[in-house]
Amino acid sequence: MSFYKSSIKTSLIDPASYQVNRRAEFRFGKDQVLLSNMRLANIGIVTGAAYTPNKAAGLMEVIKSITLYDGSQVLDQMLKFDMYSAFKNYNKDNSTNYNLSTWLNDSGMGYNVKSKRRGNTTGPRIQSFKNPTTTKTTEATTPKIWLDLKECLPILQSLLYVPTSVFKNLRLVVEFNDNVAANQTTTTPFLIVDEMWDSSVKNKLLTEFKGVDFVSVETDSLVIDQVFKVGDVTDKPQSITRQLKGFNNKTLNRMFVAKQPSVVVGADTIRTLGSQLHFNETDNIRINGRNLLVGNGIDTPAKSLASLTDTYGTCNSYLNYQAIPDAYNTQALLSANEADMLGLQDYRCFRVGERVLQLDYQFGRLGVFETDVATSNALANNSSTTLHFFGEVPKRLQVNEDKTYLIAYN
Amino acid sequence: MTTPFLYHSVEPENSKASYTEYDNVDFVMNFEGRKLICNTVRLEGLLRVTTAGANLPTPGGNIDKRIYLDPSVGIHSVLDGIQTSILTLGSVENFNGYSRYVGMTEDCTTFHNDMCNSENLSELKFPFLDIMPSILTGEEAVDDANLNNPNSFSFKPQFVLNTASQVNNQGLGMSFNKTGTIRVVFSLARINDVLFGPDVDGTTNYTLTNLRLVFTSMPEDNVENNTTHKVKYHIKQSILSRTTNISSNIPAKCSGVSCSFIAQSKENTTVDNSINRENFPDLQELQFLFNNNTNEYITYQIRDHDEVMLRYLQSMGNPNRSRTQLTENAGKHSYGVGLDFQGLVDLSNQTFNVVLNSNSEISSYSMHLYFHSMIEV
Repeated sequence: MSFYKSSIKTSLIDPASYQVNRRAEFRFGKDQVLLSNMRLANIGIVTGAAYTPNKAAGLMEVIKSITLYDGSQVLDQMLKFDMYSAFKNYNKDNSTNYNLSTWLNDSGMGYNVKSKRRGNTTGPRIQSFKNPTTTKTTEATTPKIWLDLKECLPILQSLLYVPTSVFKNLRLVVEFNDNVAANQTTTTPFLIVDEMWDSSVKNKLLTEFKGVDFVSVETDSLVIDQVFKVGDVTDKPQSITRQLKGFNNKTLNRMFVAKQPSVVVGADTIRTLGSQLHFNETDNIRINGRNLLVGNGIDTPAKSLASLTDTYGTCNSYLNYQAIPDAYNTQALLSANEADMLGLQDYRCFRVGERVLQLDYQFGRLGVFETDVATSNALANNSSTTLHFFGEVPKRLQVNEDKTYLIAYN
Repeated sequence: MTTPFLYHSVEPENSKASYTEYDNVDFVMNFEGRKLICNTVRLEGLLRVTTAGANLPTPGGNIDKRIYLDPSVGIHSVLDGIQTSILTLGSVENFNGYSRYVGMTEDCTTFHNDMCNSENLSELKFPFLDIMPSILTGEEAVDDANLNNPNSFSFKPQFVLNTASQVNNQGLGMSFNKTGTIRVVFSLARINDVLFGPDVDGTTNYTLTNLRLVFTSMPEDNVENNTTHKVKYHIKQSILSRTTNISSNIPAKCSGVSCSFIAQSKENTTVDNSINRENFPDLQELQFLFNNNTNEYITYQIRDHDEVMLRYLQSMGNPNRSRTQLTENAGKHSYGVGLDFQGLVDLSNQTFNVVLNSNSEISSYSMHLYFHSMIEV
């Protein structure tokens, strides 16, 4: 059965306002019933010299944030979109990345295993199926990607349609990262929107529109100091506990933590959009006065992968170690990019499932000393690190009889 | 306030600094006033493989130590058997030959590229064998190769508590009021069943440390629900001639049987993988003989090789994705035979027979039969 019928019209909407490298804003007409399957297309950058997009986020790294407004009321938003999309691409199985995602967002996820039995006796055994396509100097030839807004605005996952008679000043604002590549110019994106055209169906949908429960992704962050201080001469453990206030008085379902070192690692791959695995790292949450996990919490790379799988589902990884002896019988196990990415996708995940009155984050690692303090702190393992928290908080959109509405935390 | 999700972490009852071959590791699961959420049970810990008492050296261009774990089975290899008993029900599963069954499951439900998924990596499963010597050297720090930890693992054993389905959509919670404490005993496999390769010798050893059984529970909601659980019965038989009739008595209703083979000369050796799922040489005819649930005598006679493989995949539940290609069979590590009974058949009052007919002379082979049954708790 075809989804598209005569009652549904597809429109391509150009931005109402657009500032290169900064911002694009889309507006919608009056009394429309829009389907929630909105797609943003033609996202990309033209660069002075060829630039390889981020291997995890692909060209989604061009976008800094996406917000759906009604006037000045935020309906839903995704801040730190680039980092979130790097995680969402990781949070897919190998087949999906291999066959689909890598083409839709120009990422390099999805790995191909080439065995000796299939004739690979010289090349690396594990490598990306497709590395990101480099940007070009003209808009016609530079790669551009497509984004399903449901992936980043959870309200659209819960709503089937978005009536502009309720959201009278509906607008979508996309902010761009202006320093992804040197001499970059963002391409002008456009929005693809399906609209219900049949007036009888529209009226029926509007009558039935009472609101929806949805789960919004909110963010918070904290900064961890570098490990070594003047006078240190040997390996040194670091352990800190910090309070997070961004989720107070909200019900927190799942949460993942991306650990961004201040030192750029994986220069040609994930750069700063991944999550650094530290040596002997421990992570735990103290929620409302009790530790969520027993003991040190997540204290090994395997536990980290296991909690990630149990909490968010399958993720696309070939190894969660910092390093591996990368040759066997003179044949590389990993290609150069995959070796470069080792230890850069260690997200720590927690299922909390309760209302937060007080939330503390406990973090520990072993600083690895090299030569002197400055050299040691320049290693990603030891450097100052920002922990970015992405937590799911349930909300409710309640529509009243007079078509006014209220958005509140559940 | 009642905590919605609670993460439990249980130490072994017979707590030791480390565990190795032939050890039994006992865990008692206690979740009074709550419901165990089935399918969340994991065994976590650290694995260290040593030779002559030292960590494995880093493999380089000339390969220092060719010591392997079966990459499809990963850390499951260390388990020979799992015994599970529920206080109010007694013993509910005695699962021997466990690691081989995990290998068969992987053969039938995953492809090599699927090993690039997180749920496999935490179980030390990898896409190919040659990565294993590098992995087994341990987890080293990127900036200092002298900092080296044992391999961490976290895996979901494929046993009765992790194979649950809900009944009437009433959830996967298993009430402590109904079960009482649950005891799980893991029997650790002998070294030669875990590690193999040209460089495995009498000084090669594995040790497990920091073992914990972890699971999740939810508050008791006083809803009386049931859960169904898949359980396995394992039988090992010898094949010594070209035509062999294997007879088994199983004290349960079963929905299918899956079998794999290995030459007896390759069992419990240092060089060969003892849990390999080898080709049965030159199989010409395969028959399953039993009475079905309406007491009709059933004979499945299978002569076509592709049908043998298809029946095997169906017996393991998922024929859509597997490694059992002809090219793989040439590699002799993902072969099996089996039959889905298309319903529960009571095998407690009859003998189940498998007849194998080969065109070649058979040196002695072992056949491992796994009968798929079900219990309701």
